[in-house]
Amino acid sequence: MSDLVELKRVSKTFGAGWFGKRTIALRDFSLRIDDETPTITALVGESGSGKTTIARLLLGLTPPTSGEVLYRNTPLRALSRRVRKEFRRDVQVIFQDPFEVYNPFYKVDHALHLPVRKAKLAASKDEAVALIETTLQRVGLNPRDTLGRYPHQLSGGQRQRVMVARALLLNPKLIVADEPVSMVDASLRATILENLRQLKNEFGISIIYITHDLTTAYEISDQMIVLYRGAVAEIGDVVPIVRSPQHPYTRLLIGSIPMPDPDKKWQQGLESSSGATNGVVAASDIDYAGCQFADRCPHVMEECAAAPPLYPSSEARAVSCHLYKEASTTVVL
Amino acid sequence: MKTSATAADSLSPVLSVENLQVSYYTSSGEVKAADGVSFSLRAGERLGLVGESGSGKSTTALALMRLIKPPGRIVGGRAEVDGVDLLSLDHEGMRKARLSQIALVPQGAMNSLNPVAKVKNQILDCLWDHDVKASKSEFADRVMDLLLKVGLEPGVGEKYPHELSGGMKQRVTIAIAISMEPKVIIADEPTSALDVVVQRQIMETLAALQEELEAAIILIGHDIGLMAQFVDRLSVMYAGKMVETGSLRSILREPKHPYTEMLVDSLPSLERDDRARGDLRGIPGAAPSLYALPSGCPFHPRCHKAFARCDSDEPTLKIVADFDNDNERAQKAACLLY
Repeated sequence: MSDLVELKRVSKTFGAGWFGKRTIALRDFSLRIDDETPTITALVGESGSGKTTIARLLLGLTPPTSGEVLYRNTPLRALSRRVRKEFRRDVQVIFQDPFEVYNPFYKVDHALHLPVRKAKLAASKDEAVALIETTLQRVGLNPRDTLGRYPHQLSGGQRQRVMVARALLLNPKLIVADEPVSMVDASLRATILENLRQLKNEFGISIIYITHDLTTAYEISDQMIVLYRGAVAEIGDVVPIVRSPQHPYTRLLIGSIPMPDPDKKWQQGLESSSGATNGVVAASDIDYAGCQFADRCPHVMEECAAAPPLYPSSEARAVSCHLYKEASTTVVL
Repeated sequence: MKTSATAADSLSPVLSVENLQVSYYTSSGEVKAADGVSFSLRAGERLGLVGESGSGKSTTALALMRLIKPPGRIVGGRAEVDGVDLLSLDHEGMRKARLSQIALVPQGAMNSLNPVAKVKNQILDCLWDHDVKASKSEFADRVMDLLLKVGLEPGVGEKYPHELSGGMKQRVTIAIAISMEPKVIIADEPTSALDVVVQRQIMETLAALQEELEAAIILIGHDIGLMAQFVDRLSVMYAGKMVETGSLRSILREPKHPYTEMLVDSLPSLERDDRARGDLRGIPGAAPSLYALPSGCPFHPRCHKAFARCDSDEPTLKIVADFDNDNERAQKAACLLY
């Protein structure tokens, strides 16, 4: 088993300096993306939980403050020119806003021809056009309705699918999708999520699906990582996490999801639903080293002043909470 | 969360909207952003208005507040609150009606507060503007009372918006909206920028206040999950028209309009078991451009049940299921199938 990309005990701190307030965006985070078995991994958390920081680290858009980001076992910063080029083909991205990513002065064709030219995917112009057309069809777009148009002439859903096609053109191994459907209308959301699943099932592409929406994460992912203030709260297979969440934060999160069902109302008296702090050190204290959720947690205890490690609670699952210390076995993820 | 059936017993509606028409006049022609929207609400009732972007839900909200800006214009219709037609009030009358009769909790609280004024002054502005006469200490008490009601500490009054979190800012906009105890509250995607935990807290606060004031509320949004938690009745909009309306349960359990049916079907769910997971069905095609609406039913190009007449005849809302002989509350759909 070889790793395509690996984050090894990565931390990221923003805004050091004399006057700036430091923000720890990510704390001691590790993640391995396997080269052979494609998976969809959901990174779930509220704003400020570190999801997008992970995306930027994976893409090599920002260097880690400590720890290493590795591509095929070589740190990103030490990649040779040639390997760096491979890395940039192997790891692709789909951003949240399907309008901002286009240059409004160019037709959408431009966004598709550019990678073909840069990565030398086609020998001639005709070959390039043929390649682009087949790729568009693969994501369910009709090339005739799409090519030759300006971004504003396409719907949000179409624009986002052109981006999926652009990523697919380069035949990547990993696609980082940062909130790909949050700006797309509900009726088209399902289609794009379906595209992502298809990328994994048909083309063997792994996907990092970054979202704040647990429901769509549940629908399409294999694994899930729940983040809270830059730290992992819970990690493992998606079905058991959603069915029986263990970390108090995951429980709060799942209990707060509004279900589209008149018979499944929010339950009364959800734990720490008030969001009020319970007297524990404010987590805004940058050097606070304990559990990040302690100030909102209804089960807070003395031990929480020390950051909990990931206690494996079953074979494919681990939770970062001292409540699960006893239950844990010695399985290492 | 309790549904508010108690106050809904009084039969006369507190808000009744009839055939509301809003158009935008652009260089490429007239765009009918809201085309013949009608509904009514009783005191304490909660109505959800769902639809995609461009379906006319926010336009409807802004029209009720008379906040449509040029090139937009309210072309016709009536919107009565307690028998007074908001659409025919003069400028001054409407200014008084805002907040005291009908109030808006805007989308994106970040942009709707004044960045250079303290929270307390922004609340006081509303009271002064409606000629509330009171002593300095009474005003201070009133601000404190409003802040406490929306779950904020009184100290928040001394702060500026940038010192508050997104959830706190949204609470301030709610405090402003209820400051003059309106009869109708319109909440336009009040929580779309917040995470689910905060969203739930805000919606619970809004629900409690609405029950206390016995106000009618219109919740606008695209999150059907949130609607299911909050509203009693649901109306679905598509391309400027209301295509289906009925009780929350009937719309979610037995949708009649093919668009509603497909929309409900396309919802992701945590309920599906492992095998059915990911079996998502989107709605094919895209929402039509309002510049070039298809003839007949605006949904027919995307509809799997479309038949010959759909591209020529325009459907209107028809009763599709009875509701205790109450025509106002009956489930209606604008579809030629019925």
